[in-house]
Amino acid sequence: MSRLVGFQSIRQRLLVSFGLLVTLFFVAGLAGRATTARMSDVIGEALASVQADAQLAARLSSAVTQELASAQTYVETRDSASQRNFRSFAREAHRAQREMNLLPGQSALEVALVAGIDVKLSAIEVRYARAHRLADLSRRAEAALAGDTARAGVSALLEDVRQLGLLKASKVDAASRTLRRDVDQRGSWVLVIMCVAVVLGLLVVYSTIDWIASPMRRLAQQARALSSGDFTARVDGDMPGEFRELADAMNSAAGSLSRVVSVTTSTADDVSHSARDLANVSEQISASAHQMAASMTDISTGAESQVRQLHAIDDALRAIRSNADDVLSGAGELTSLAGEIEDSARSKRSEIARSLGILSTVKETVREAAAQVDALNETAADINKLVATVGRIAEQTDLLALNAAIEAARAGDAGRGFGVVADEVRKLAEQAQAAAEDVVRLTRVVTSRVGSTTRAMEASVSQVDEIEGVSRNVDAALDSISEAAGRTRTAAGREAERAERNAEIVGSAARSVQSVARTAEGYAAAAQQVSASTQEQSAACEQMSAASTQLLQGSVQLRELVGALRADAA
Amino acid sequence: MSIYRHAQWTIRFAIAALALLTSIACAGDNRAVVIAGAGNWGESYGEMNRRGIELALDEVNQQGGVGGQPLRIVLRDDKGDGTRAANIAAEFVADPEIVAVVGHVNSGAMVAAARIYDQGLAAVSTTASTPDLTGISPWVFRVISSDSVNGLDLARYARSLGFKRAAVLFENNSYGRGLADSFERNFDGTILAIDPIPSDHDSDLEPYIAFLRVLKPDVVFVAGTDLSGLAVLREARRQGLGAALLGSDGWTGILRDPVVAEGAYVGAPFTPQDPRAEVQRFVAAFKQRYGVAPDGNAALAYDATRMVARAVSEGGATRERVRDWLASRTQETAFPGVTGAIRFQSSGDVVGKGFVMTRVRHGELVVAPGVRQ
Repeated sequence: MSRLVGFQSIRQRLLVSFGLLVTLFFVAGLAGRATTARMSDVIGEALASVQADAQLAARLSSAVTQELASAQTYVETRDSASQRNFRSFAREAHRAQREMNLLPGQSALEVALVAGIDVKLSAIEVRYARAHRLADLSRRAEAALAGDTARAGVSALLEDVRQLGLLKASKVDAASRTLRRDVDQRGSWVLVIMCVAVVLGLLVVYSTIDWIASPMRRLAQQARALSSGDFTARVDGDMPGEFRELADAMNSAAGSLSRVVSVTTSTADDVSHSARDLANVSEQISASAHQMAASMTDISTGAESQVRQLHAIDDALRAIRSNADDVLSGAGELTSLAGEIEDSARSKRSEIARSLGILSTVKETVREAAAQVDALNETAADINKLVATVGRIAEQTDLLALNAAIEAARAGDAGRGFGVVADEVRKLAEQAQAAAEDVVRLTRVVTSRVGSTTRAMEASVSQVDEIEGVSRNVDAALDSISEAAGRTRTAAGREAERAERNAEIVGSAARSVQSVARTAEGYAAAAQQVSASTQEQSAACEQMSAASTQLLQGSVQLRELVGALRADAA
Repeated sequence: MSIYRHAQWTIRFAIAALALLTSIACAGDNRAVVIAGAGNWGESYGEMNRRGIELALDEVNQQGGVGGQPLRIVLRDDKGDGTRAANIAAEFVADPEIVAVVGHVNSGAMVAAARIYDQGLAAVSTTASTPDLTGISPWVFRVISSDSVNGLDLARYARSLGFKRAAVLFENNSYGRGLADSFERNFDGTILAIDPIPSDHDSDLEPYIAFLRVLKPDVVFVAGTDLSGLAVLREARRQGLGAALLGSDGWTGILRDPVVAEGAYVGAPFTPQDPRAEVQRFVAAFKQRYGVAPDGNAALAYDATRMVARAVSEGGATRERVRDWLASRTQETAFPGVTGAIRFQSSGDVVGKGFVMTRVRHGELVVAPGVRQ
């Protein structure tokens, strides 16, 4: 109902609903009253109709009976009153019949029955009329006979009349049945209307209650939801205006709360983010601390190594002290050794001087042999020049012999003897040439052998030179050794040895110093690490400070919102 | 393929032709407008009624039917009996094809049937003249004037002929009683006796006439049809009753026995001697078809039938339209019948029609001069 008609308020709805209810009951009452009124009308009409029918039937019946009685009486007595009655009752009977015919709602059976009664009655009337005239004519026997004839038809007529009466009675029955049914029907209709009115009334009441209760339930639900912290709950839908205001207020409150919650949530998110950042920073700090610790460890180990190196320096200093003792004892030995070396070197120098004398003799010998070889080489050259001349004579001779042979051949037999001489000459030339060549060959062999011997001698000379050089070097060395030995013996004092030891101590000390320097470098590196950690720490500190700033802002916002909430609530 | 298509075409053509033939046949049958007629055809007045109806029907159909449709009539015989008439009326009402009824003929039958036609079928009675019919139903009309009018006409006529002492014999039925009552009420003289008589033609009327002979009336008014009328005339002649005999429209058939009927006065709704052209044309057509002159029964039936045909044609072929057309006739739009201009009062009675007073002379109804037409 509330969907069909949009009510604005409970008051309006109640007014309309109860107005409707009252109207309905009024309508039901009217319908009942109208039904009753109509019923009485219908009953009246039906009763009137039935009454008219019954009256007519009674009139007909009565008229017919009296008419027939009068007719019969007149036949018997010729009483003028009977004659009049017969006439008037006949009229009455036929009038009743006509009126019956004119009554509304006559069935075909009724019409036919009335028509049948008319026919029968008419026939009887005619017969009686004839009997009456016979009676008037004083023909009594005939009249009686005619009267009997007329009466014969009366029972059939009365049967018809009775039938008509039955028909009317059944019609009354039917009418009363119809009326009863009608009454029942109308009664049930009124009942139905009343039931509908009651049902509608219940519906109105129920829907109104529901209309009020349902928004109240929803409001209560929302209140519970709000109190349980669910600010998303809203009260929507159709409800009376009075509730609408409350619902709107609650909705707006829920909206405000919901906004606060959302802002708080986001702020809390920010806080948690900041906290997470802080956690990270603290982790970084702890890592830096670890690093610092490691660096410190390094520093401590460096210190340890310094300690150890100090120990080493201590040891080295102790070794220096013991070395000094050793050098002190070894100096004596060294002095003696230097004396021995000086003596040995002197002896060796005398041997070398003798060797050098021998070597000078060898050198002279070799130089003489070389001069002889040179002279031989010059002789060989002279031989070669002679041989070459012999060779050129031989060739010329050969050539002359050949020309002589050719001339001999041209001279024929005269020349034959000359030819043999030419030939012998040529053979002699050839032999001369061969002998020349052998001389050359032999000369070359001798020359080469002399050359090689010369070269060997020269090599020996150079070797002698080398040995001489070595010998001189050895001599010089021995000289320096002996000199050194002398210097050693003389100069090698404690200061020198002490200086050496001091140099060693200095070297060791220098190494210690280097080690100390390395340790210092380690310290420096550790210090650097420490400084880097310190920087990280400072960065983390900055992050922390930023996070704390956010936290601060969030808390400020929260504080402001809480302030606003209070303001709203107030 | 081509054979199959050919067969298909043949079948289609056959179906179309069949449908066409059926529609023509049905249309020819369906399009006929059907009216009904009921009356006591077996009696002479009924026979004349039927002749008038049939002649009118044939003329209507020869002139093109009603609105281009042929007019068909269903005729039933009620034998003048109310019960039978009521049953026939119920059958007519139940048949939806029937749009109007011509009839009934007898007053009693019409009174019984009128209650049935009241359910919604217009009936135009031909000759039922009983006052009981007046206002009986908005669906019931009649072309004959009411006997309350006719009785007045006849009473005045009898008085104008100088008759002071009158006796009344009436057929003991709706018609006879109504007419007799009207005459008795309106006769400005002495009514010596008023007796019901049988409506058949061979009843023993001797006591009635013998008694009248004692009473010696100037005039005996007989309210009934020619059946009882001829019996009364015959008996009166046989007993030498000196009184003049006067009958109403029911007596137009007594000319069947001209000897007995000679000298009788008859108030008639119609006379073939009416000089109007349409009357003479009708009389000629009737004579040509049936060999006799039409009487009031025939003329009224003829008028009723043609009027119903006109109502269907001009009003429409439904029950309501026929009734409305009939009820809405005015002086200007009155139907021109051979019995006069026809229009109806709200009671269903015809307006302004009266009797022609005639006397039987040599087998004919001769209009008696000097009396209200």
